[in-house]
Amino acid sequence: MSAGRLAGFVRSGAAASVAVRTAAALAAAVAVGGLALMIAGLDPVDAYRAVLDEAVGSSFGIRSSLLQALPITITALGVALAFRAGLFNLGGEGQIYAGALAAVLVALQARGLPFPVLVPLMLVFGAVAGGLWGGIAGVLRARLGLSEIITTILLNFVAFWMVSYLVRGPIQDPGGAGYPYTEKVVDGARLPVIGDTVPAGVLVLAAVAIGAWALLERSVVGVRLKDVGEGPSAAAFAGWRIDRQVILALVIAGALGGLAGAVELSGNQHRVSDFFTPGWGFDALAVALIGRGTIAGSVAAGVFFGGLRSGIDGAQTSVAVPESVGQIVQGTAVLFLIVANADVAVRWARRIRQPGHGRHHARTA
Amino acid sequence: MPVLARMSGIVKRFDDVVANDGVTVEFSAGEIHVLLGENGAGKTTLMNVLYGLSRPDEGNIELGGRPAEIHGPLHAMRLGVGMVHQHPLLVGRLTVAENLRLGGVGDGTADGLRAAVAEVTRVIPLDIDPARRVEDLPLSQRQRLELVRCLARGVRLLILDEPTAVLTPAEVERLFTELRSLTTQGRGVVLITHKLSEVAEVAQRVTVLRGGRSLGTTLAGERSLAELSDLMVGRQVPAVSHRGAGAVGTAPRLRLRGARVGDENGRCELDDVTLEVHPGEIVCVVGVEGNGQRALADVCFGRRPVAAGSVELDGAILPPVGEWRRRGVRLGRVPEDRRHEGLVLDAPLWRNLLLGPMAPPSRFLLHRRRALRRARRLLTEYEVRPADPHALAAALSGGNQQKVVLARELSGEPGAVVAVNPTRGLDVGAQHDVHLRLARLRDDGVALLVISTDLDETLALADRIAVLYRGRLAGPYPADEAGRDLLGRLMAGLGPGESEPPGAGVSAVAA
Amino acid sequence: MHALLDILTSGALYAAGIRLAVPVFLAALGELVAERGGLVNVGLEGMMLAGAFGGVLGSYLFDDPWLGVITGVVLAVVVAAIQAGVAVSLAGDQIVTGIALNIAVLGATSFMARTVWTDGNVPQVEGFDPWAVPGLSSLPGIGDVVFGQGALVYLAAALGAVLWWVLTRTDWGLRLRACGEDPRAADSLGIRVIAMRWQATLICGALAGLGGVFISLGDIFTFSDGMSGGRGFIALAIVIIARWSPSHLVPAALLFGVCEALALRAQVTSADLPYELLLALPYVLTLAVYAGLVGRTLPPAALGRPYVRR
Repeated sequence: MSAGRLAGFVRSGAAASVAVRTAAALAAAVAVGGLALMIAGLDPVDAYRAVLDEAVGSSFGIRSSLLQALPITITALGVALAFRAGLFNLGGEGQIYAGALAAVLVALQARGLPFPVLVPLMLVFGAVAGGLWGGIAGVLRARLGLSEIITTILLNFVAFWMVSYLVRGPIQDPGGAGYPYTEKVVDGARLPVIGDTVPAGVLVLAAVAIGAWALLERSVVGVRLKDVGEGPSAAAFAGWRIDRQVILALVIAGALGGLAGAVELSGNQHRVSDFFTPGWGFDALAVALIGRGTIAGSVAAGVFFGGLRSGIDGAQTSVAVPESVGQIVQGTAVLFLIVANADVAVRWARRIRQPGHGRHHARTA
Repeated sequence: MPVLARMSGIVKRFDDVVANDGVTVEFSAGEIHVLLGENGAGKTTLMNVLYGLSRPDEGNIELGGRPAEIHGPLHAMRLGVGMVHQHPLLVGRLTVAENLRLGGVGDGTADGLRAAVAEVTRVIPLDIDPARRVEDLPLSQRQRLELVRCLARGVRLLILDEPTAVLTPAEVERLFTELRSLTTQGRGVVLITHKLSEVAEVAQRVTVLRGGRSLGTTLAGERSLAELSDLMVGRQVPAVSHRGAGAVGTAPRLRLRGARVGDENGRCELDDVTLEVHPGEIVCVVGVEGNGQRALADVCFGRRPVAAGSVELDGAILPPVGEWRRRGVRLGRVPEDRRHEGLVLDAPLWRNLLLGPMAPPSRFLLHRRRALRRARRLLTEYEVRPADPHALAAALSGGNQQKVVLARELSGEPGAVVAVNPTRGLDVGAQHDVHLRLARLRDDGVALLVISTDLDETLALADRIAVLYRGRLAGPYPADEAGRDLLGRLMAGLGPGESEPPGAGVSAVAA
Repeated sequence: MHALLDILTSGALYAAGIRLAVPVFLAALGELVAERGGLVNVGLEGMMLAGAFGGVLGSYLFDDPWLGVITGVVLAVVVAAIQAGVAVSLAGDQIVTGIALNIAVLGATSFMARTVWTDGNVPQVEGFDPWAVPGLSSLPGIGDVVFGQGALVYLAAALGAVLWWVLTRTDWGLRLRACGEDPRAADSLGIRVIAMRWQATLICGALAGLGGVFISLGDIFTFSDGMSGGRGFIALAIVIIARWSPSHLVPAALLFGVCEALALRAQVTSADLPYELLLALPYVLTLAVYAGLVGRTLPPAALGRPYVRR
């Protein structure tokens, strides 16, 4: 499976048309979600209104939405960068676990350090661990040609079972009554909430987004990553080291996944369990696809789906919207987006729009 | 002779491009009908319509006097129309027998296949082991296989798309003889070409296409070749020779010494090649496709190491391309596949102009404004349409894409340039521009190596000419001394003095 | 160490190994058909999951595991039809389509489980018990291991043989391979590439669905969210490991099955082995074998590339 296959999907078009198509695909997916809600016996309008209300209706809701959006979006930015290099990072789950695990180990070992030292240290270690985990897939791809689609997924399971082993054994909370999780980290290891609404992790996200944008749009490395993604043969001909770019892209993607895990650990859950991520790695994948591999698009889609997840979560008590509706909306949104952008579909649509297409054309011999 | 096929008012569009614009033409049994036109004139598109590969947007087709709607190639063959493509449409990984079977030849058994093939090969011999994989066959044999496959299906009208591009002059001679004998059996032949010489040699009737329109059909003798040429091109193009004053410097700039390249199967692709290119000269290496051109280009492009011998630039061993920027190697490279190797099609032009080791150095930060300014200057200087640095490379015509590649590769003040088939697929005007650029560079003292499969291009450009045959190089000879005859013999693998026995080309390559 | 040795020498391990290999084998067989036709079907995981869910649903609704098989296969084929519609007919990106389907199916099956059964308490349903082949099962040594399996195991073996014959010995197989190697050439010969790829994708869906049914009805007789557990991706790896040859699928799938059986039995029989790490073993082993064997043969030349007729 060669690099560069995403090129057709993220091919830049007129910005307005991209936005319209994406919005249309999202709307259609939300409609499918509504259909599901109807099947479940709910009034979709009421249900969605409850979800919306929970997601953004209060400062608590906004905080919860942002907290959900953070791991998804930070991971998604990594997935997006890999996309631009023509690579599919399906390993978000494992990278999140790797990052959270490293961060919690740092916090447990160095619990005496002051906040301004400890938290950055946790984030750095989280990113490094995630980067190494992603880098395995990068090296396997670059050196042996193994498909990162398969290896990143397999590595998810390896990471999951490793964490599962650790939180049931070596790093289990001794006072946790046998539950599979670690101790909570000390206060000095926790990212605070600014005001009452904005988790400090948002600052990390902002820094990551700006950094990722600068890398893609304003650095030589970014241009080469895109060359490899959009035209692997031309990049090889130009003398760019494809293997290095591939490893780099997956290391960065993994590092952002790991960072996401560390941010979540430090800013929200404060401990690692073997149910630490509810599938954010795959949320991130869908988000990066819907954002078409762009930074702004991924951030927008990430916040949207973080809010959706949080809203559904919050509405559990009032309307009991199944959590899985979020996944249905994500999956179908990507499908609709493919359809909306497929050249063939576009050609069909054009033909439908022009009945009697070309009949008036002059005949010449 | 009866009319086999009549196409009237055929219109075929691809998105916004009109490839055929109301073409009307008819093909009769018992004659060779040449469809003449430049690249992009719509010849292949028109014949793909007749062969059922694409549907016309407008127009009618009649076969044997009755209106016919052709649903696909299999249907076309059932209706008696067969086509041999420029790049034969065979499945490379499958065997000769499997490919014949896929084309509906025989009944799936080895005996049935043999019987069906034997029937045809009395006219067109096919000396190929049916168990061989098609990708291991030389192009000339693949073409022959496709031809036999068509005939075994009993087609009455046979279309050949630029069949001579992969043949040596003697093989061309033999093919034409065979085609003539097919017409005496009452079959019709349509030959797609842009070569006037083939009109003179084989055509009984000629239709000229230009810009997707037919300019009418005439008997071959009715119009002179000069008239046909004017019709085809649509304007006067002077027959130019771009030869220069000959080599200037004494020390060779680019030099291959005993260079050898083998593929994974241990076959020799390039065998002991020695060649020197001096500043201020164009050396052309000509040969039939598949005789080692790719390997020769790859070693000069820094993409593949030599197994033995050396490639040197200014006396220093040429490193892999990844190290060129660091070592300051300045060698312009015009790859054969400009769409995939020369350009990142989905990237804007300013980024395409930054590809490769000669683009202005920058380690970390991208100086976007500077890159855009440079792009604007280069696009204007090389007359690229549109001269918009933000346009995607994919949106440009072939000629303009090639100009972008040239702008990038020639603007870095290279000491030497290696180009592979630099004008393939371009229309005459664009070809002329490219040749002019290369000639001007030569006059500026650059050493140029042009690897080409086009004898006409070679004769127009070269100061010295070498011939590549099965990985071995003959020559180079000064252009004045190397005539068509000599080069043709060398391209067929014969010594300068030998003459070619009929059929030698095919059986020699088959060995 | 002693405990591990006991497990390794028991026939029950290998019997379980065969049983656990079957879902992966079936899915890999389907993927092989699709890939020979040029379609890389990353949605395999979702199709297996749809099959696993459908199996339980059908068996629950009709109280007959064979109707569960049919329901599971039908659901998976519906997913395959979406894959074919988007990635074959509309020439959308095959991988992105597959990823999207995996996410959507994960959500949809979980959603339906909660809709059909209150609060997602999926009941135990009628499944497939082992069925001893008369005579053969009493063979010493391997009799119990090979011939004491559920009916779906024998069905899987038979399907493997049939598809091997179809792919290598029939005109349909030849045409399919042509579509996977060079769709343009195939089209020029009158082979309907889009139709062939549709057929291959649907066959792939049916086989993956059957594999999925086997996960739920062949073993634990119920459904849980995401119960395919990455087997679809393991099947993708196994196709490459087997170098696109149906006969090589058997040892590759068995290796995975035995490895997983080992982890599961260790979990049951000896508390002191770190079973979580053993459960990671099948994935590590698949990675290791993939890394060790890759690159020896070439995939179908047009794999992953949508075909658009001009």
